[in-house]
Amino acid sequence: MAEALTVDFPVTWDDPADAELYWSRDLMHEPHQVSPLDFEISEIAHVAGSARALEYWGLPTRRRARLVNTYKYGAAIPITLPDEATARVAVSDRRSLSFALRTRLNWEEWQPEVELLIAQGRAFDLGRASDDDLLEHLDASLVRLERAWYIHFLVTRPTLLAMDQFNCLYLELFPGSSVLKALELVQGEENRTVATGRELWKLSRILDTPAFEAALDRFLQEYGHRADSLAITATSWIEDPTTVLAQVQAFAANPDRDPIREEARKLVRREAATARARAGLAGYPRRVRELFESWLRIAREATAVWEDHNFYIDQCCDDELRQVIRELARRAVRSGGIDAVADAPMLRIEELRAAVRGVDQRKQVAIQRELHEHFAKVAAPHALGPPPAAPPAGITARATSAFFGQPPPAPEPGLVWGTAASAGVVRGIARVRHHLEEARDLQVGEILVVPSTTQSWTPLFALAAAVVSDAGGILCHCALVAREYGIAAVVGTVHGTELIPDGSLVEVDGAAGTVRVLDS
Amino acid sequence: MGEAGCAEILVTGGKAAALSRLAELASVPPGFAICAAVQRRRVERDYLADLVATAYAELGRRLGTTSPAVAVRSSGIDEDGAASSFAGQHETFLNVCGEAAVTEAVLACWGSAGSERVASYRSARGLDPDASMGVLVQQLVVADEAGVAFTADPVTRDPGVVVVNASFGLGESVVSGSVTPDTYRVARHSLEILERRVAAKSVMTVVSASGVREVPIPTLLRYEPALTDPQVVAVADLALRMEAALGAPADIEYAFGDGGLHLLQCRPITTLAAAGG
Repeated sequence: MAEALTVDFPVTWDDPADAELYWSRDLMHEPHQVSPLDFEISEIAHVAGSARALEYWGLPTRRRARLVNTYKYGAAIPITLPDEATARVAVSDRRSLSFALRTRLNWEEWQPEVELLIAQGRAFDLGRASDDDLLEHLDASLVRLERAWYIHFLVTRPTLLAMDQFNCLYLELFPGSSVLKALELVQGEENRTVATGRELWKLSRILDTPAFEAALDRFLQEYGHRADSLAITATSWIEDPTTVLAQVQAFAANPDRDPIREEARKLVRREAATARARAGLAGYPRRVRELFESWLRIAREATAVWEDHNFYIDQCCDDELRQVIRELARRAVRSGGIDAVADAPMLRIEELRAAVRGVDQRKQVAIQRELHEHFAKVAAPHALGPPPAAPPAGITARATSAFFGQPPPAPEPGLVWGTAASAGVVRGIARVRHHLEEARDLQVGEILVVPSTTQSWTPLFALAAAVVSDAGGILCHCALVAREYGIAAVVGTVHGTELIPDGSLVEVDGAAGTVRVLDS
Repeated sequence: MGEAGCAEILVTGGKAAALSRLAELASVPPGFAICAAVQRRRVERDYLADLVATAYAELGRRLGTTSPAVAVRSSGIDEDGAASSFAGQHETFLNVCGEAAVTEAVLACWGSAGSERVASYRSARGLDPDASMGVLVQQLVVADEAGVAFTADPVTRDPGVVVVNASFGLGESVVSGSVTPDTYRVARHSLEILERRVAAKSVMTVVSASGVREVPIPTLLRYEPALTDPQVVAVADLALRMEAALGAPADIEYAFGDGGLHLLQCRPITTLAAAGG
């Protein structure tokens, strides 16, 4: 066992080899504590699926995850010598590029299988199944989810690459321009994220009419298979539509924030920007103009695929397992294994199974809960262990860093730096919110300051004047949606939620990547 | 161009005369030449401007546009000869629009003939330091791909192969040596492509709002072959036909653009002649 690193955050490794690795948190997807049940499910489904995808892409690393003091850390483990790693990455990049060229087709080939996985889950009658059948269904659901996440990483890698390659091409053709200018040409594609905002807006138009209830139900059946956080153990919108209703009411109170009109405006801007770019290339060789046109098309398709894969896999597939877990939790309460449905996340899968059969797991719940409550007050380090040598560079590594972000310049007094993610200079009151359920009070024109956002946060972008996030790069979800909604955004500030006081007046410059605290 | 009067070296200079003679056999961009005699007579600027305006307007009528973009190149009466090519010694002005700009470009070509660089080239080869120069004005080919070709290997002197160099954009980056072009070797008799050496091509010349400029080739295109196989064969075939017309191994400059393959320049391979090949 390795020694404790800090007093507040003691780290011990079961496997001594782990002490040699560099562990970092994924602040975009897991900015908060992770429960034992969520961790185990992610090991079986998400991490296992991604591991098979890494193998598919021929990459020289494997990933390992550990739960340290209730926070999830991941490490990359090299499986080859450095020279071979460089060669493998080069081969993998070429392969990814050939898939990037057919981004939409790639997704269209997988989408039917993903929809089948969802349909199979939904066809099972959770309420009427016997305990035995339900426990068997849990295993089948985990297998399906692992498959879905394997597909996820086969789709996302070339899709991300497609978006980044267009940006690189644009900067080469228009030196002195910016990635934000490049992105102006690709936004405005129809996708499931944009559709969610539009449907919420339509609901707000019929609030207080007899048609509302049925329309809300239809909305939830289509778009409600998600929760406020990415955790499998979180409550879905179908079960608890508070977030949805808050958003509908906010839209109803602010009729000028019509997302449909904003979409139309954005398309006009995009066509004007596209025409300018084409005019700039008029004297260029045919092959250059064709290259530009084909990557423009690919990048536009990629932005749509990016949001759509998330809807089907990250939201709908995860939600199938979420429903199974909730049903197991209800039965565990009925059989006396645990006291409340909300206790289930504190168990491991085997413990939850036992609880369903009536084995008392309350002690285990109490231990874990105490641990969670203790470490909720501790600032978990962003990384543990010796920083690694730089991994082999390449086009996919570049695209990945455009998604996850890069360390920003050090903050200055009253000034926080991040990645310029969506242009615009705005002043407003900063609302520092760590969880979506805390952010429902956001008022029009305020500035949302968050650790990171998921697709579930999207509706808030229709109200906020700007968004500032700790995590992410120029291609992250938060940046992408901010551009779709035409609001300023600075992402990847790392410390924004710590350094920007809640309720302070701030000025966000989305093109410069700065947040200035004017008056706290 | 293509008319009898234009085909005399002593009247229009070597480059213009050669192209004019070959205009029947290859697609030569339409244009006109200012006779060397005009320079010798040291005419008034206004007189030259009138000459250019008339010819430029006629070119515009033939092309169906009022202000065609043209290339303005020097055409010395002793250049592009079998003994000395003058390649790259004189100024070339690309994407010139409007009669006033064309007149300026013609005067600048004559100005370059008096430059030190050209004077030392001339004296090194024992040429008349005052030999006069015609100027060739042709419709600009907005080239998609361009380069040069030789009907014998310029390095090994192997007459069995045609060597084609190619890159993206206008041929200026290939001619000036600022880009390493792709090299294709084609068998003279069968027109079979024997070798394709695709280079990492760094820069290309493109048409800008006023003139041309050299810009980087995007990474995604840099390692792609500039020409397809049928294009390579078409260039090799053109070069061999020009050789037959010249009666000597030929060195051509070509461009693909505006819907086809165009001959921009043609001269005997001087290095072979000088080496006695």
